[in-house]
Amino acid sequence: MITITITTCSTLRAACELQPRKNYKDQSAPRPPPPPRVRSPLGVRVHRGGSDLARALPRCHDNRRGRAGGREREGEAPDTGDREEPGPGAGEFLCKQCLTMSALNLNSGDGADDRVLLLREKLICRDSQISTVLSIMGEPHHYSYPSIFVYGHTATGKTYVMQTLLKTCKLPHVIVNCVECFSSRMLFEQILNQLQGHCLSPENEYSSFLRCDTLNDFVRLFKQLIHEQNLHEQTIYIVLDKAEKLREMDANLLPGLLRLQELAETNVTVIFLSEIVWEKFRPSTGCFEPITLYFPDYSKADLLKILTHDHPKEFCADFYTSYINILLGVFYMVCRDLKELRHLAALNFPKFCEPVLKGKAKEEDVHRLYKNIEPHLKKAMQTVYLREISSSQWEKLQKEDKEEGHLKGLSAHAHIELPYYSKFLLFAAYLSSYNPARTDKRFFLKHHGKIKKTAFLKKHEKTSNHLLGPKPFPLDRLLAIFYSIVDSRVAPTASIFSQISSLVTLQLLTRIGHDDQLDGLKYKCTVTLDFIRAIARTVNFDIVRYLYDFV
Amino acid sequence: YSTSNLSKCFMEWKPSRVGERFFNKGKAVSENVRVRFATYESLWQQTKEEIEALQDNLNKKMFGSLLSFIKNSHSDLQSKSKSWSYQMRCSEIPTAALVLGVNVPDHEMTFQKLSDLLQESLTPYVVCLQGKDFTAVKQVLQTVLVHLIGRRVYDDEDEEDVFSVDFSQKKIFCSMASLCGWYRAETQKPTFSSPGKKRKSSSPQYEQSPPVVIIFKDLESFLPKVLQDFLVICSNYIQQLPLILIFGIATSSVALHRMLPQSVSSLLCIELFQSLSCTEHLAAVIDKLILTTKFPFKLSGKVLRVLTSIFLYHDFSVRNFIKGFQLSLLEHFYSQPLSLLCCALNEANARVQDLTHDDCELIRQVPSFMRYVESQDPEKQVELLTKDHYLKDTVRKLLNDLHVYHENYLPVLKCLHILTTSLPKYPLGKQIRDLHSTCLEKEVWETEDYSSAFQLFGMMAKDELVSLLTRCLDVLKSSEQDNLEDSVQKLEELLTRFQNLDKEATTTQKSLQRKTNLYQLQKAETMLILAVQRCTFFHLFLIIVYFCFFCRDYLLPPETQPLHEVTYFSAASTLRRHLNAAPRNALQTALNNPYYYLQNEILKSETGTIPNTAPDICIVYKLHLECGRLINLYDWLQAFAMVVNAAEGNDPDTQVGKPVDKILHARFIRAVSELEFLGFVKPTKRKTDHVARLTWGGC
Repeated sequence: MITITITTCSTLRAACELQPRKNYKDQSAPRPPPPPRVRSPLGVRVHRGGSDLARALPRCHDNRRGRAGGREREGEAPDTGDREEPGPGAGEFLCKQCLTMSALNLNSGDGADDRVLLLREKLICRDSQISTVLSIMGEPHHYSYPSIFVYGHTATGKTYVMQTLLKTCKLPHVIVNCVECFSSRMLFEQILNQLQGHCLSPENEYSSFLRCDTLNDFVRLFKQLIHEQNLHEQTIYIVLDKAEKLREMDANLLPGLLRLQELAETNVTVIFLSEIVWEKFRPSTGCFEPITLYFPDYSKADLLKILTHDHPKEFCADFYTSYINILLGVFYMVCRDLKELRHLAALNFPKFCEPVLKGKAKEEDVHRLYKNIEPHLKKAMQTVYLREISSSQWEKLQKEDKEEGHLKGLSAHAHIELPYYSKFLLFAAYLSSYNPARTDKRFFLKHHGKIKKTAFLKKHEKTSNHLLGPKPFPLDRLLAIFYSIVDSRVAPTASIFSQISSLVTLQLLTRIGHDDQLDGLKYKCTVTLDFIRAIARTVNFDIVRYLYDFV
Repeated sequence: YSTSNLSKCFMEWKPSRVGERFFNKGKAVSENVRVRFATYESLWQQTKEEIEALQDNLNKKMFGSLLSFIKNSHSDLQSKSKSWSYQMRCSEIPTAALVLGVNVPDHEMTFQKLSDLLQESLTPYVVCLQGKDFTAVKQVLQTVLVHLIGRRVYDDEDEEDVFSVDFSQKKIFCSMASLCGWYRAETQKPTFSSPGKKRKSSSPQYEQSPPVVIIFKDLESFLPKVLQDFLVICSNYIQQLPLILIFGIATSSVALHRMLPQSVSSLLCIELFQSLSCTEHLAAVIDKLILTTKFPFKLSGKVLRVLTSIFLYHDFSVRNFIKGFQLSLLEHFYSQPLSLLCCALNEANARVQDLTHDDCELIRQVPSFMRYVESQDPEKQVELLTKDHYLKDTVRKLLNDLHVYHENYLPVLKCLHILTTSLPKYPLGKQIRDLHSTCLEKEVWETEDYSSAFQLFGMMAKDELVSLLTRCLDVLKSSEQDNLEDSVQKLEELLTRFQNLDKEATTTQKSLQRKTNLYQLQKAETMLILAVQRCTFFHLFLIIVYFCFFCRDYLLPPETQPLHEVTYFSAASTLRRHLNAAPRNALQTALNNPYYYLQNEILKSETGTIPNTAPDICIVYKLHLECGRLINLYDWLQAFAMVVNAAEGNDPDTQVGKPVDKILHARFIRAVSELEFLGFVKPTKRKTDHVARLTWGGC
């Protein structure tokens, strides 16, 4: 049980005075400034709506409630300054103030709360976020804020923190991945299933516990279920992972979920986890504003700390730390994804400790180990990171200690064999995509007369067409150019036309516009210059000679 | 490599059934026709089996490595899940990327084979997905679920047969979670005692928890977004559900990178498998089907060229090549009465015995046989033309000769191919099929390429030539032909003498060293060198000339052989018309000359004119040819009305000035809109009451 409860303003103020504010500063110091135009992590604002305010923020200072509304729009200001001076002017951040207080209390707790300590231990480098979330949550029987919006890059521990936190605190919760629940119906049913503890199995024919199609049904069924499960005593948390997918679903879904507490009239908090900032979510019609919480990227030191946390049992932590240091030195530039780094670390570790196991070097012999591993890691960056070579193949290579030469990556197989006429159709498509239509006469007519490039070069066309990308062209033009570049007489047979659509299915051409158009089909050629030149070489066709950009 | 609908048309075309109708068309079935059809069926069966065996063989290596990959990655997933490094690593989905080449129609077969193989040996859970069916993740999941769970339902209820299979799709919670629940229930069942009563006898024992294999047949046609979402969902469940993915890629593995961003591709553990290239596949098929004496049926040079050019220029599809081969087989047995004799030699001899008088008359009319008759003595000619009995004997002899000709032809062809492929620039073609079709079409020694090739032989290094010739000898010897034996011996003799030249030279050189006089020595040496050179040259020349004669004897084009019509199919134009259709030409013919398709006597006319009685659209088309870029609809209507009125016997003069009949008007409108649909005219905004013409010329 969380013991820290902030009941009145006076205790808060007392705590504020008792504890030096330095403590807080220490905590926020390593955090990089939040991205611009993004609400601050602790920028908890009081909602304007007065009626639901009491329910929404039962633990706020009631004397400042009235002042909050008018200042709402000023919330964009960077908060670091505000946080330093919680004077009388910082009215709208009053909740933040109490959050700070609670954080302080958490920090300076007398150790009675083992759960917080346990969380600290499990979730490294996320102390401030944990305390913020905990303080928003408050006591289980209290009403919490209706919706929390958590955002941050991939692998910044959003899901993990939430999951562990809710599990360790033994709070009733539901975690749903929105990628998987691609329709609102699935989302609702999944939430209800999880609340009920309903498992999909052959006995129930893999059908969900309750059928629920609309938000209205959901609210009704949700209330009913809460009542049946006897959960109305505590706050229920619904965590929606990958919440950006919600935007593609029904229009009423997101506003509805944001206000679920009010709609269902139960103590429920919806937590949204996303990689995108809240501003990109806000519907044009307006909605209830959730508390936004930013999970910043891990710094290099954080990464080091987290990665060394789970070192293999056979080796001591220092040895593994030195390895992680080297690894980060190579990969930190390109990849800050914790998950990926962990994967790479595990993958390359056998190579690192190979000299030690063989007795060639000692664990302290960092320099030698560095020399051994560094080129290996660099190679890994070029191949494994992009999955040019699969992880298992990389492992096999490592074991056999062979040169990588014989194993080519995926990109090495870029060559495509095409039938003869398809090649020419592709040339024709490329030429019509990159040449202006009025230059066709010059390239494909025998007696075009002398036209100098400068003479018909228009001003806006001075930029290379290759920089501008392919342009759409009609089918007629493609065929006209095709018949003029192919040497032999080709009958316009069905297979020529079918080859065009084959090229479309192979994604070498793309069709522009509707599929069912009979008239005026347009295409674009999607291949690169290098690719087309490689193909042209196989049939001795000098494609560059026909390209307007290279004349 | 052609659009799926086009290839599907081809697939739906079932010649065996169509064939029967084809042969029986019209008249009463004669004995001859019945036998021909039976021969066709047995021959096609034989070819099909041969090809299937070949393809199994060709794919064996790729499938073997693919299966072992699936097995290994699955057992890895099961066994090592406890170790440290596996816990640290991202749980990647094992994925096999199968690069199959652009010949999409062939892939169907490969995937069918693959899924059969998987079901036989590894897992009962195999799902194939076709890209164009899916526009959202929901459909992908639905298909996978219905396929896996539905199949089981069906199996269980097999004997009861009470419930229909459609366990309600609406009811099922369509997510990976259901699949997980299903899998758990499925694997916890007592090891496959219940399912599949009928399969029980041969039901292979799978492991305790077989993997679920999902095959994406054509990766390129999947929408990237759908695929990405699906992969993300899969990766969430990989711990509970051992999934293995197989991607069929038509272009190249770069397509994978293009479709999947790093965040998704990092969820996969991709291994690449390359299938045999389609040209190699074709070479193998040609080797088995055409360059063999096993099948009595042969393709003439022109037909072979049509088939290979469709392959090389248009589609790269081996399946279509085989279909083409089948069509020519069918066409041959249908159109050539003498194809009766196109079967194995002893069978053919028996059939010759049973020939009726009419059949004999047919043989006498065959051009190549007529030529043969003309080359005979007059009394023999008379006998051949009058006595059936004598004719049958001769035919038997000639068929035997033809058979011998084939048996000799092939080894010699292979020899010539061995020799010419080592030359720079491959004067006679790189592939043996090129050489084969050249030899079939004309006398190969008359061609320019041939003479240039033999000139190049003269410039070849000796060692190289010797090694080539020994290879040739091996081929000839392995063919075990009695007729070739003499020539083989002769060639062998020449070759050994050629090889021994060196030795002779060295021995004489050794004997020279005894001489002390320097001048003498030098002189003798130069003499010797000259002699050796001359000798080598002479021998080389000898061998080449000998080989030349060799070719001349055996690589005669089949047209020189009497009764070649029996086995050779030469109607290349028919084949081309069937396989490489020209819709535009057909359209133009139909409009210009309706008699061609409708076969109605009234429509018959001289070239260039269209009778008044032709269908409306033909008349409208004809009239529109006389117009310029823009056509005035009113004038067009007037002209149309005049023509039609004339056809109906109304006096055109009386009609002038009268408003056009309503029915006529409607007919005209219909014809014009048909023409618009066919793409000859289109409405224009430039002038009211006008349409724009889209084709040029033709008047």
